[in-house]
Amino acid sequence: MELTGNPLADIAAPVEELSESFNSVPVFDFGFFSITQYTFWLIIILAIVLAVVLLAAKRVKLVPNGRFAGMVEYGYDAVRRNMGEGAIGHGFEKHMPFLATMFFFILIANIIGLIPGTKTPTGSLSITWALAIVSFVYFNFWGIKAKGGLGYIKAIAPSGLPGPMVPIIWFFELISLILRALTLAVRLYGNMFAGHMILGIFAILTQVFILDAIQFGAYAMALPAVAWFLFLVIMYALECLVAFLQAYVFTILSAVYVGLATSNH
Amino acid sequence: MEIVIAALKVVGYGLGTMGPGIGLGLAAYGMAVGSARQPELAGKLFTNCLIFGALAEALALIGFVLTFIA
Repeated sequence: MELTGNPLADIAAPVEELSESFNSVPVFDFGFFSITQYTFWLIIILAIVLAVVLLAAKRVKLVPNGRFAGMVEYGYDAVRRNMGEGAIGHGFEKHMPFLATMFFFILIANIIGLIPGTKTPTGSLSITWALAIVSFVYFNFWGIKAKGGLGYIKAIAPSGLPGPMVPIIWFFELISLILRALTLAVRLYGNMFAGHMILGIFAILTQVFILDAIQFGAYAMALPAVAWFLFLVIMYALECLVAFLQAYVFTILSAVYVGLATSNH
Repeated sequence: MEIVIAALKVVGYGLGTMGPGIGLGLAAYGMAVGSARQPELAGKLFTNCLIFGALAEALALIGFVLTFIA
């Protein structure tokens, strides 16, 4: 980016580096397939999730001692109480492995992505689509298992409707059922992508004001950079909240969909 | 012309967020008021708030996708 000496003019210039840094770029090329930076961090996060959960599982006792095992158990218990018991209700135990895996994986992926220099895999649409399709297939599978194929198709429309309304409502409910996969994927992707984009924009604003001041010797011009940096820190704090919230929302919506698919009413 | 179309996509997405924004606000309002009146129901209300928030949000997310594919 060319600096002109007037930071207000510079910030209007398009910043190709920022939007390009979100594109998937192969970092390891094996010829027949390549690993992009998102896949690279995905593998690292898988290793971290496995290490965290397996280490904590090794120390499982009746009364957890040690801060680490207690922390993981607290997280698992939160998933169990709020999501399993709260959203699925009766017979939630058999869905706990799925819900806890989803929650811990997305939470750790979102939090790792907040460390400068890393990439969050959930900021890539391909990976959130994969997660959403896993969830979609899972709740349809358990719905068909609980009600049978024909029963599940019938149960898409809520019971207790007057006769002529059933096909119309059934059709709309079917669309909303299919859109669940899309909204699960795009909600997570949109939140993580937009959040990191905002952090990048504030970082670039800070940088533009400081570089302009240094390059052209007008040091008073660097003062707004302090405010931009403050905004950056505030947005970073907000992103820490969003990282947790999106993992929570994804998991609880999966739980709610499983509950809706399997409940009999 | 291309830049006008690109700008109109973003304007369309902006318009598309207004309805879901109102809907999400109403859902959160209902949850806040309901759980202030009956704190013992707060957990259930929060879950319901998320479900209907997700329904309302679907429209905004479809708009977000359309800015990419349209």
